[in-house]
Amino acid sequence: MKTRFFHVTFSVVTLVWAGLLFASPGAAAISVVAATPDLADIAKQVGGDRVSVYSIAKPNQDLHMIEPRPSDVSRIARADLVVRVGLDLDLWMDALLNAAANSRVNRGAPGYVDASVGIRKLEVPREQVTGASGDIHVYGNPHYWLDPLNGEIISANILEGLKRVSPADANYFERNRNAFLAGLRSAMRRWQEKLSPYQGRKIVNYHDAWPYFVRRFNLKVLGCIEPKPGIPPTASHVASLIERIKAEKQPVVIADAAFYPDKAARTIAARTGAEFVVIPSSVGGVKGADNFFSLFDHIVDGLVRGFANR
Amino acid sequence: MRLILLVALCLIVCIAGQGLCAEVKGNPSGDATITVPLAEFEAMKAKLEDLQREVEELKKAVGLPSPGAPAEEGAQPTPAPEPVAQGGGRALALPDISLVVQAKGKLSTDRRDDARNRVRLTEAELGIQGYVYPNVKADAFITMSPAENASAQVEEAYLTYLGLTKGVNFYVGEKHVAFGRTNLLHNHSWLYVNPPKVLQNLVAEESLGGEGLAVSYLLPTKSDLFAQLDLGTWTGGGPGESSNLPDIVKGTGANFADRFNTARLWTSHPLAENSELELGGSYANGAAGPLDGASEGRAQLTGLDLTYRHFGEGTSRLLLRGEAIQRHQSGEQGSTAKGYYLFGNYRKTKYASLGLLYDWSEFPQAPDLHESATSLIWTKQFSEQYYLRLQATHGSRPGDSSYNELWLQWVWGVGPHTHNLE
Repeated sequence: MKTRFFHVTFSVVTLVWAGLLFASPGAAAISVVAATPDLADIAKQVGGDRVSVYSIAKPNQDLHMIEPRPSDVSRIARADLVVRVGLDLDLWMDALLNAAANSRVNRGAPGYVDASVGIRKLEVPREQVTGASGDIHVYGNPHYWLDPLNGEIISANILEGLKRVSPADANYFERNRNAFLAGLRSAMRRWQEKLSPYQGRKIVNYHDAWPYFVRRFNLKVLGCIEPKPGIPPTASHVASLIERIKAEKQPVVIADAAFYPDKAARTIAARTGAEFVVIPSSVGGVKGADNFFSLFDHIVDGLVRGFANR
Repeated sequence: MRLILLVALCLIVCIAGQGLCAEVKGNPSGDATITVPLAEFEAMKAKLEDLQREVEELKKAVGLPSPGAPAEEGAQPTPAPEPVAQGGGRALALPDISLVVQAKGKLSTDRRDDARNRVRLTEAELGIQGYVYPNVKADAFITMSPAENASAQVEEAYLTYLGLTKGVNFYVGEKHVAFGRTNLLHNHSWLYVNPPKVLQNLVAEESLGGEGLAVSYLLPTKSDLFAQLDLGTWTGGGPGESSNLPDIVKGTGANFADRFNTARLWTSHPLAENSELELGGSYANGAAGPLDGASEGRAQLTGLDLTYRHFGEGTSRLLLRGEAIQRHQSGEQGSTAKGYYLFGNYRKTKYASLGLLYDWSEFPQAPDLHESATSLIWTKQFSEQYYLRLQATHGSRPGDSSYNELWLQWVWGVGPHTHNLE
């Protein structure tokens, strides 16, 4: 009886697996695999309906700690274009690229896009980087997509990649990118207008992910809850942060993505009266932040709400 | 300097060219007209275009903006897929050099265990990794085990030919073989202090390795199914380490005498956007070394593994894994030993995870005996380079119906250290 059950189970599993092996995922002209939802969205906006886009990282995942999945290898093996963040944020992409053995998208191949190329990098270490610095990135802070105007450079890199893998569609991609840029410039005016009353105001984040954003909108980071990047907060560091917030003349807003531990943030908020707001740091990070533009709508609205409440 | 000279030359040629044109257009009478032969004019024009191209290339090389790129404070994308240095040291053309060190402390109620109640530096692993040619990667891992008075030994040293043809990677050298779900992992990547008993007893004390060739082929599936076939032929694979617990029964591992071959089919499919199910089957076959009281024959290892992973927000992750192994040795006094383990690990934040491991195993040299253990494992991850692990184990083994162990493991590393897909 047991043997028969084993044989039936084994046969069913084999058939299901074989069915998946030969099932078609549906045809798409250009297959793009992006490291993050933000890059995926920009690739979608530039590629339009001539691309199918997949993001390896999911919304609200910590990009430093992505565990590559075998099925991601299959997607990269079939990909025409791979778009990565670069600056050592997505080193996990290397394991996927190596396993996929797809020479079209390997480093230096036409289908390989490092979206950080040309970005003006912030917080590039000027002294020796060691474990004492925390989990620091030697090429600079990698959260560059959080300056919306860096969307121009990211989209230009993706555009060039798409043109390389599909030159016949170059004009179509150019038109899409121009539409993206027009939308970005229009939205930029809206965001700047909303945040202009709060220029110079300070925020506190859990992780040092916002230097590009605050620079763009003339805000300031008072400090991070992590004493150093990737290092969990200590009681003394939190106490020191509380004192610094209390010493500020203008109220401070504590803001960061939902996936970071919020215990310390709530403690600080309770002891200082600072407003604590959850803002998305990637497309899909909160409901409604479905694309690159609505991502910044939610970030800006969240901060404005925080500043206005105090 | 060369760039400045070229820019200056271009400007001079441009100004001269414009002046010439203006003069020709502005003097229809031809009194002051400079007559340039058409061929010479075309040559000058071609030269100017060459110079402009060269200037653009030099600008790209030194990171200056190109025309037509977005106007973002001097920061411009480059149209060509310039490889960008990744990882420490690569910008200087150095290999990635790293050192990962482990120390373990152990408390045990088993008085036969001469390693109990001590803290030992168990291993230091030196990693040297880099590319030696486009798409050819070299990895070498040298390990030293001061606790066992062992000299440095090569744990792995191999070349990987990436994308030799579509979907194919080729390996040559000494490396862990693709058998089971975790054999390729280095011990600092484990989610427990010691590997499950079944792997120690039937496969290898730590990891089954050999010198030889291997090929990895990613089957061209059309859906999101991942299917990879690994084939290898190896020498080595015997019990590389002797037990430091002479009074305690320990398995011999795979105990291949010399040559052996391996095959593994690893499949995986997403169940939902945030979850994945993996199924793997492994096989190894080779001449067997002698077991206690048994003559040599052939040894066969067969394994089946199942892994489920679910990813939540941030860094949270649930992992469930089971693996069953059987070792069969043919010959005059053939024997079959088997075992399995079940493992679960939940990581709530990037700073901590909790695991539960149950394992059960027979011994190749004494299949009528078995051992089992249940372990609770807590890991505190301080940073990407440093973690601390506490493991409490309750088990039974031949000669001791019940024992308890408490392990404390420190793992720390410096330098960039990467592994293949895990």
